[in-house]
Amino acid sequence: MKTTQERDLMSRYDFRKPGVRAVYGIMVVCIVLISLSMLYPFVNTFLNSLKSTKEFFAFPAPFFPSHWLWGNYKESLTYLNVGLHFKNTLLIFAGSALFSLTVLGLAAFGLAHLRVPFKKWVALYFLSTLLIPSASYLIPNFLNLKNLGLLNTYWAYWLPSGANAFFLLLLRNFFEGIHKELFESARIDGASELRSFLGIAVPLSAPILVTLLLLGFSSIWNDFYWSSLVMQEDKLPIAGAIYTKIIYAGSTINWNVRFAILSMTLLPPLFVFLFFQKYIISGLSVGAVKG
Amino acid sequence: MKKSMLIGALAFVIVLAGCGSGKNEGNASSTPPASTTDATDGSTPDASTPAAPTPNADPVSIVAYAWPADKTEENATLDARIKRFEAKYPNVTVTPKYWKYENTEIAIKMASNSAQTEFTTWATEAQMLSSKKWIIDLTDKLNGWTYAKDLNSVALAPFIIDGKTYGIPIDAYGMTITINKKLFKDKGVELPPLDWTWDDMLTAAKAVNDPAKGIAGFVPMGKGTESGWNWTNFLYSAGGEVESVADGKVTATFNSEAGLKALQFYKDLKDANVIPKTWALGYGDALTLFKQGRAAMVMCGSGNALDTAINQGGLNKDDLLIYPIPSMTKGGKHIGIAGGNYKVINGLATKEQQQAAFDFVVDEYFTDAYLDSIDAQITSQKGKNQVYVPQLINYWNDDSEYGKKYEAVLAKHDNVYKFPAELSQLMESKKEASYETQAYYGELANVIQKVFTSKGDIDLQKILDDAAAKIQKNNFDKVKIE
Amino acid sequence: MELQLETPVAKRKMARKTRVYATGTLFLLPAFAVFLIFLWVPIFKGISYSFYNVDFVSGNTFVGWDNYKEVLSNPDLYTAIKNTLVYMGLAVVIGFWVPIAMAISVSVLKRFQSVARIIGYLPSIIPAIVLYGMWQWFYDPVGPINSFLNFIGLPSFDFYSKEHAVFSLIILETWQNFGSATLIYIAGLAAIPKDLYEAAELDGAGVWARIRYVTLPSLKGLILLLLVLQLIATSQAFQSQLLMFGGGPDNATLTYLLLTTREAFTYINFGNASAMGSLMFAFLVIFTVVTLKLRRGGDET
Repeated sequence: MKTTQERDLMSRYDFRKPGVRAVYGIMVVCIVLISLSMLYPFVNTFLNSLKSTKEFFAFPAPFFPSHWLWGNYKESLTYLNVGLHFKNTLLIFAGSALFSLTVLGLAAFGLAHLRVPFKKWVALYFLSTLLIPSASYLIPNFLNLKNLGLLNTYWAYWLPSGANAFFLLLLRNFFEGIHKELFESARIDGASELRSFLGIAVPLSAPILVTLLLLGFSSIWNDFYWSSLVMQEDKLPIAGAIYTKIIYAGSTINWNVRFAILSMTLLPPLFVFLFFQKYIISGLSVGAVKG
Repeated sequence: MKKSMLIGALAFVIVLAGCGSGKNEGNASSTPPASTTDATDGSTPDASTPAAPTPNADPVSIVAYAWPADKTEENATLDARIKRFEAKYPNVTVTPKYWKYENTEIAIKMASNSAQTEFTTWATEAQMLSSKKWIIDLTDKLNGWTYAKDLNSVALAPFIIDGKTYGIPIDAYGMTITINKKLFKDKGVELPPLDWTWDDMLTAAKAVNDPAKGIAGFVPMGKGTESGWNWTNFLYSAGGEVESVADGKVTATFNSEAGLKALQFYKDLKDANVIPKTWALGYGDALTLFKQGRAAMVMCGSGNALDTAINQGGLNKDDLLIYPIPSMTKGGKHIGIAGGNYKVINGLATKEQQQAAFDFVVDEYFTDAYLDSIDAQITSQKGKNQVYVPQLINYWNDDSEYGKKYEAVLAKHDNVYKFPAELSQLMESKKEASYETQAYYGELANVIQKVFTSKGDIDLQKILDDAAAKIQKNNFDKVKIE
Repeated sequence: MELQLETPVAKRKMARKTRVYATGTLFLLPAFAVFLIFLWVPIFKGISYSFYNVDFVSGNTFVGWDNYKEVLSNPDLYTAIKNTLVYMGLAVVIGFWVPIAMAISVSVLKRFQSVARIIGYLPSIIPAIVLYGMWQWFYDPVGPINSFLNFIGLPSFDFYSKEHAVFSLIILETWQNFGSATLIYIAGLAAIPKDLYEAAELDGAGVWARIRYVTLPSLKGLILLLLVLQLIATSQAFQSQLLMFGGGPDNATLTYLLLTTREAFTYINFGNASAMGSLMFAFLVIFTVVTLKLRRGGDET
């Protein structure tokens, strides 16, 4: 119960073995290479946003701009109210996160630890929605939102966010990993199921909840197509706004300026990731989880 | 793990389309008939008042096709035009709304009836939109319009289907080859003559080609329907046809002798190694290579490659040239596919809305107001250090009175790209096939990719025959001609 | 007497059982409703489209199985199915183990662990224009990979050839998508009690043995789950196929969903697109139910 954080798969003792050290070294090199490839597009986008149009298309492309044209950023801001659309994105994200994790968390807990009639079929009801490609019901989906009067409201995001079988499946898997005895003893102590859910299951599943937050964030962050159809003008999240106002087909906004906007949109998710990542491992695992 | 596959995935597609799908579009900077805010123009709406508005007509409201937010001047012009129109037709209310036509979105817009009452589309969409009845037949309305006879018949052609007219041209183009003159100069290669042939093109491509530096002699599109669209120009200039229509039946004819010659030409280009190894180039990809100076020649709608290369890519306008599609043999025709931008009327609107939208669309055709808006656009581009690239074909006839006035406007400015006079005499535009065109282009993409990626000898005739048989069975045989 | 005694007990049992069921049902109810309204209603409507000639202007007309017949008579369908299966298989072989390895590697990093944790997830926020532009450049004959190969004296690699196109795509997809699975595995690793490692080490298990006998077995459920999810996701893959190769060369990268998307958005034929979606759905649901039935006896814990 009092395991220290410093100990993980490997102990300090392991590092004294030369074989282990060699493998570890190779592994570090691999991670560094992967990291570099991951960072390349970020750096490249950023540097391209500072080039002149001529340099942007120069071939072979210079890695660094010859003159750092910060004016591109100033110009880009005249095309887009970044703050407003960023706020919209956050609103959509916050509401969706709250709603989807609540609805799906309850359902996943029910499937994992409670008695539910026809459980298998109920599970199939949820999970089979993963098996049909969304392209085949794209239009009915849109008409459905329209008929419900949800178009151009945040509810068009918040409510459907609860219908995510992928998240449900992951949550159920993690809840199932928690020992049943914990809940049994809570029941004997007279705790309600809701209390067990909030007091035991949720804190123990913090890592996956945070992971799902991150996954949810980037899917909203990247949602160009759907958001530009569902939302309009001042309600648009950043992705939809960029798509309809900046990089639409036939746009004559210069590419360096477009990239300035894209660069700006890369920063917030970076901070969100960096902020949330530390909670991924902060779950109080010890002993409570099945081995 | 790719969980956001579902809707999120489409997003990516569209974004790429965002930089690439311009295939069907005309000159991005061209303005549809609209006028400046100049008050004096508004008071001279001249004779175009055939459908005199009855004063006590029922109120009608329509939605007009607005510009993206960054086009502030164009939107201001539109607002002014709406004001003038509403003054003339007091019962009509016009609301501008921004949604840009996209073939990936039009279905949702129609399904939910949220497209504008009048919108702008491009030539390749004519067949699809009219067959789905998403746009209306304008023949009768045009008959009642004073200026209908003055419309340029070449520009109008793509939207005439089975004798009915579905769209009003804004501007039009024929396919051309855009040449990066600088690459020729750098290598000391002489430019081919303007009245050139396939052989001239191949020779020029070989001479200017430099794969080690990543420079290709010619960059044909090889990915998506645009690859079929590109190749069809060679089919046309070899005298071939995509399909023939007789007795209510559509028959594939692109596997003709002309088709074989055109495909052989692609094979020759491939064997000479003058096209990029990265064959998977869509419209946007090909134009990007051109902007980067990695393509000596590229094929697209007349001024489009030129326009983006100058105004987006920072190339010098004197380094760029427009050639017609080469003729197959000396003295042959230079035939390219016709395209352009068109105004169409939403099929889901009420009769009254459709009439009002038509009146609105044609309200300022052939007026000085339109010419003034061009004038203003050129001036504003000058301010941005940009060059105005006119379309080769306009909605009016070049030798008309109106055409001369337009020429006079262009002549006032020095930031206008000038095409050689000989070019329009050489060029001949031909409209696209009328039935199952996209399916044909799609199937042709496979044919072209076979040629571009196969090693050694391949039976070109068989490839064409197979494709023709497949498309005949899956598509053409199912066409019902009314 | 005994009977009289028993009845109230049984009743209480019954009551308790209903109450237990009621609680479970209550937990599921919100999700049930949301799935119904926002997924099942559109899905059913989408499926119904497959029996109609969809016409937004004059109204839909019922055509029975015509759309299905048309879809099934298209030779490209079978190419697409084959390509999709190959893609799914190769993606498992080439890509599935990457996030597991990455997650374990990151968890033993001594420094910069926090940054390494999310590094793989970065591509998920890069706009597609940048992303695919980058890969086009990487795969270019004069791009960095081929320049490097030439530099060390190897011949260029043709990423665009018919034989290599699928491979090129899987490299790209793996690079782009392993991050989210990595995050999930890292969350899974966090749930493994550390004293298990300590105990194993005291028993003399080396690092490999600990991974083999502690880490991997603990992740077993998660690995299976993510395998299923990857298979589902790859069965619906189309985006990089479309953007990098347009399904080519000569349909070599034409997947089932790319064909569906093409029907829906290029040919604007919703009847056919819906029929294709419904076929896939029907097949996978039957497959799932059969699998569940077959497994029924066993590991339902």
